[in-house]
Amino acid sequence: MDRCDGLADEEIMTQVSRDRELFACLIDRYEAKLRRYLKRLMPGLGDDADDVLQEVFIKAYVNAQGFDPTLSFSSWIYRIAHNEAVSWLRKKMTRPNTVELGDDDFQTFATSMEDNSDRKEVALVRDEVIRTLSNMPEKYRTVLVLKFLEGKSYEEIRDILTVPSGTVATLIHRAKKHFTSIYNVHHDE
Amino acid sequence: MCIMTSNESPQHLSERVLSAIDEGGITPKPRWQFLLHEWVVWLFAVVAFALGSVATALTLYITNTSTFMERQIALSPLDTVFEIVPFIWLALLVIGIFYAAHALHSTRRGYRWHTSWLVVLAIGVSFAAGYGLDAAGLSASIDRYLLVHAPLYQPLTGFKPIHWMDPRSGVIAGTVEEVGDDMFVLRSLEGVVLEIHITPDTTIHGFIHLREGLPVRVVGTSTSRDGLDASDVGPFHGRGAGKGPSREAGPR
Repeated sequence: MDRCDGLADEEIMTQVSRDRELFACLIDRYEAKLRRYLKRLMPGLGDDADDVLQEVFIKAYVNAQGFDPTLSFSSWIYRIAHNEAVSWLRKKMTRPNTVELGDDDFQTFATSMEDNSDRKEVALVRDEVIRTLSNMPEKYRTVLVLKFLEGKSYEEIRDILTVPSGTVATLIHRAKKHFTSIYNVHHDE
Repeated sequence: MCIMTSNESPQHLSERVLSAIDEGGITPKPRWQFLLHEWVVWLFAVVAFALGSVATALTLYITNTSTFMERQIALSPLDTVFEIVPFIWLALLVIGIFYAAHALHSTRRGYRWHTSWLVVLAIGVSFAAGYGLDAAGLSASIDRYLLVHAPLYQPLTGFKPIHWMDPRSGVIAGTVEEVGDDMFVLRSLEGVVLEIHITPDTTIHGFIHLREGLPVRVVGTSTSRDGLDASDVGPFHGRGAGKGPSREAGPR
């Protein structure tokens, strides 16, 4: 993958249609990130993850010449992954049982949420966070995952979900409120 | 990260994707398809803006030209509204605004704008361009053209020339044929010659100077079969000036 060293994602993307092998660099760069994102978003994904990921990268390849190099490649590929995830969820008609959240992920999420919410008096408990996230509507879970687990900015989330920045702020606010209300119910049980 | 394929050999995802691309003969869509899509979306937006602008111009024009006389004829304020407002153009204005906002939202970065802002933008552009078109006189030409060439346009826009040619109702439009002291002779859109009397109570709208050949509209009280005491006299930029009998009687 030496050929890709020093090349930004966007530069590689502009050359993919002429040099297909360069596309492998982008796949290697984003495979782990997208796999993690998809599993956070679609906990029931399991063995289908590879198929979904393959579909994501093939769609990216097919639409390579439609990529706007003034936009971030990361947001663009996340957008394709998100659309594919939503499509997969609809096709499978499944609702996830539990999201996948490792210890590190949980710590990141808990710290971000506690820094960004009013409920600081009770520390978040991992299993209850997992249960709460799993029971949230997909649109709220998506923004929480993007903001507090993937660490995306408002602008990046805007470009991934193709909604105005104001809508991103509203969604995050509502998602946090929704999370807190569900979490409190679980916590009090 | 490696994955296991059906024959149990580990394979990188990148290799698997490139193999699938090879085996499926998959190629990137040509750039022109994306450009064409973007151009079509923008063309759609421009057409929608044009529709909104023309609809605004025609709404302004028809309302302005009708207000003066329809108010005299209508029985109630509600009747006046129904007589004056060109609902077909208002409907087209709404459709133009809706489609312009929709098209803008479909552009490459249109999602970054909230729909309400796009609607406000579409309204602003349609209104500004519509005022410009009306001020430039284009709305009168379009209206006249449609009255002559589109049979359905006349009933759809509530065009009732009879209203403007009914001295007994106190309204008449036509061309000044002769100007005298405190009176002038008017040839109506139907070609009927009438004597219009100007009294101290007569209001002259639009700072017009009465002269031969000037198209005017008059509101007043009928004094005889071929006479009228004018209460209001204004310039007639009116609808239908170039249509039917008015082609012979009118100056345009």
